[in-house]
Amino acid sequence: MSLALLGIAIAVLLVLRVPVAFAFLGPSLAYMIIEGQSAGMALRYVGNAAASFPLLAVPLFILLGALANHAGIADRLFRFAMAVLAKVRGNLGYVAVGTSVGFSWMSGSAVADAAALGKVQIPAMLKAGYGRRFATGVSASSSLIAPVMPPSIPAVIFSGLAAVSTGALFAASVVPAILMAAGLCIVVWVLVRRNPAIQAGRFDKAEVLASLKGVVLPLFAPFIILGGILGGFFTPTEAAAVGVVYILLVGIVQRSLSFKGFIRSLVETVTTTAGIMLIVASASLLGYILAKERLPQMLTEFMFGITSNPTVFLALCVVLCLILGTVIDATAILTLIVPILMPIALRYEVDPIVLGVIIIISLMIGLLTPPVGTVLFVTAAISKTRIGEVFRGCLPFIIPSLVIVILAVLFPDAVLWLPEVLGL
Amino acid sequence: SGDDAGAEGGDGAAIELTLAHSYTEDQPQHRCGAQVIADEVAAADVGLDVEIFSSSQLGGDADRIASVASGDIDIDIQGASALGALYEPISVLDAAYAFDDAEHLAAFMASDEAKPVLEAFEEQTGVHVIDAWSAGARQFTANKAIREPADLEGLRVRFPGSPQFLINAKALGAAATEVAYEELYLALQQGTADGQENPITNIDSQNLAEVQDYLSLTSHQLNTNLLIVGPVWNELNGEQQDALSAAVETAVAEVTSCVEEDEAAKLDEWRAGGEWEIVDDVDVDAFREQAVAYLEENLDDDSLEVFQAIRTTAN
Amino acid sequence: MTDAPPPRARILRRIAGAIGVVEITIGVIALLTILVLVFIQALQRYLPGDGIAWSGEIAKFSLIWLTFSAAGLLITTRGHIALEIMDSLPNPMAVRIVQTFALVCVAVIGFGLTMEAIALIETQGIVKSPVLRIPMSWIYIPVLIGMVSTTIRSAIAAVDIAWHGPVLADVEDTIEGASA
Ligand code: NA
Ligand code: NA
Repeated sequence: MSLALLGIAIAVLLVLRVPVAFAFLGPSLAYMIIEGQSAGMALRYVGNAAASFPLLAVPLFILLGALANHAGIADRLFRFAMAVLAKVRGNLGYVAVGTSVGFSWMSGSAVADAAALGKVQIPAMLKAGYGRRFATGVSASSSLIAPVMPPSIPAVIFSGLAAVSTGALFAASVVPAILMAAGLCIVVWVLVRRNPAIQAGRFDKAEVLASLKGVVLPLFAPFIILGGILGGFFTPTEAAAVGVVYILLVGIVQRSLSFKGFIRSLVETVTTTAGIMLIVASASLLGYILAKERLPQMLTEFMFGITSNPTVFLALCVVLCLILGTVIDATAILTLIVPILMPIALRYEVDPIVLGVIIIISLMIGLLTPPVGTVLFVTAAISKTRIGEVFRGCLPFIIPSLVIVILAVLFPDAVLWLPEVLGL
Repeated sequence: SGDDAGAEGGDGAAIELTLAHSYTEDQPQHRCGAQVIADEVAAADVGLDVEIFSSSQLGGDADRIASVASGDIDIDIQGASALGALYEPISVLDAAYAFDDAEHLAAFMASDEAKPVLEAFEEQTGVHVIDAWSAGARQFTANKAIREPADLEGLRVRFPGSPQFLINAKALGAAATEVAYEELYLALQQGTADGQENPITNIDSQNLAEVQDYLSLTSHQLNTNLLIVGPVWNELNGEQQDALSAAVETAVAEVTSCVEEDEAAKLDEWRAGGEWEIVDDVDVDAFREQAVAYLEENLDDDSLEVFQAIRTTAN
Repeated sequence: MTDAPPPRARILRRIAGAIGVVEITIGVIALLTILVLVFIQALQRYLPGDGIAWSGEIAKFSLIWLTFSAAGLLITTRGHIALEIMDSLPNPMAVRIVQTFALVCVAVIGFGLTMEAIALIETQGIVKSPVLRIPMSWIYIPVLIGMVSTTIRSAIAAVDIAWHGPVLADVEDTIEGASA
């Protein structure tokens, strides 16, 4: 069975709405049977792919985000950011970015952020007279900070696949995430200047202090999680578990997490994790087949036939991720391309950490682009806005992410600066 | 693929055998081992063709062991302790101070003493062991010198998670802690683990000299690699079996000398540079006495038999 | 989304809901197991005494069980990630055909995977887990359950959609529907 046939079968099944995991599994299973592999071999690889210690961080970080959401931390971050930025013109735009940054320290998934924060951010902006495109655009785009700023689900999956240190990849992602937030603020500033309808509010010191009370304890979470990982107190997987226990305690102490909220967090985590892990696991089987067919070697030779310049290689990776990201789910792309791109990257002497940062940001941009953009769909659904309208709103906010990816391609050593300072 | 391999033997198309392993292409197990096997088999011209898949491309150790047993991978290179997943007593080849050196391992594998355990393994699993080499002895690294068992007290030493390694930790008197191999550098740097033990080639490839102060040459365990072949073994004709065995024998000698060369070069480099201190004056006898006494007391019957068989072939 | 389902489908859905609660409960227990074991492992670094060698292994197996226990449920709750481009086709009959086709595909693939799971349980008894030496065939039992559930649920959903058009509930509905 040829690779081309395998690829076509998968593409057809994907378009015909077969869930991603099964679109991978069906043709792969057929391949294994035709190639005379023993019965059970395919499912054994799929099952065992889920059993990896780094990937244990996936359910734990999803649970962390779900608990933070059900404990109302998004609302409290929003209230606090509002109080602090009351006098700033266009404050709600900056507040949207700021709450996304705050929440990104507890959440590793853009979709979860878009859902949790969009419900608070977008109605507030619409009520204050901001345009619908602006409101949905800034809310959807700023949710991309979550999977870039550690903890990050894509970074966990990348590290597991590339056998690199999750901690080092987390450290390398901090600066790009901060730059993303700064870039979004610049776009907000430019857009707000053009809209005279938007006015600033009044600064109220009492409100700042009152809202601060609600966020002090949750904002210790990043010190425990990021500090725990970057300071070497815990592995990322362990830090995820410690973070979950901490947020649970905060929820209980502040009486903000109900038993029902707790159960809902668990159920949401199980279903979300299963959806992601099934894709990761089934893509691993496909990876086995590609390895058996020597596709990585063929692509490596092909690439070197074109260029020996690592910058060109990285630029091509970005283009590949941007194109694939428009139509396929980010987790699926990640799991498929990392085993193929890693050997090539090593031949180009590209640091796997740099590759990880570049691939993750490029893929996250795909969450904002039609026809398949999960963040786009979520934002459109919760704000009852047309998808095209949200996408138009997102366009100016995609610029900073693109600029950061380009900078990372041109200056890969800068990406490694923080991990090196921290000695990771 | 593995399944239709046997059908085409004799004249005509060569039988294609997949050889999978977890090592990178610049490690001695590949350079001087897998590659040599493929080349020798091709040179023998007996209708066999070995195709190598390095760097865990066909799955992690545990996945590949199951695949060899099911016939989906033909040949693999596995540590004895990992093979314990199929048949526990074989993991004793990785017991602390079971072997004195690479020559002892070779002598044991060639002796009648090795037959009971290898035959029992094959009977139980359908997997044939062709031979074994050592990828070097395992040594301790830490931020203090480890000269005698007492020096391990109070240290959290990272050992691999499988049962034989944890028995070894107890036998040597170390407190074992669990750290994934990918996170080892970080764990040592940050102090989540105080020390670890690995052969010199691994210590070098993980750059552990950057994060540890002492390398103590305890040589407490040979890092065995067993060359295993699945059910396809019985589908090969006598000539092909002989050619494959001869190729492996050549590879065993090559790997042994490659590892020796690599280790000597690395140790010279470390002694010349001041990156860390190489501790030569280890009281190996004290470690050995303690470990052997512990193992003789604590190994179960089948495993103890293998351990004693190994010890009787020592010089 | 469309008309109220007929009584027969309602009974089927109630049974699916009850089984769903069992599946999600297995998933939640696996999740809590991961949380507790990894948390204990984190604490172990700062407590005297030996670490527990098997905590990592059981946590990893729990991730397999979590993933596969919910695989079937995700069919009914539409929780599997899929490209939903075809859902925006203007012709509702075309959408119905595509969705039915997709579910039939899942049922066929699920059946293939069920056969694989049975083969694994039969053959992997000889392979033991790396640390605890548990027979690997045990590990695959929850995988089999998940695959059987996937096959049955996708077959039922295919018939349901072919008959009544796309009707799908979400997780909360399933759980509340079953406990009510
Ligand atoms: Na994050
Ligand atoms: Na997209």
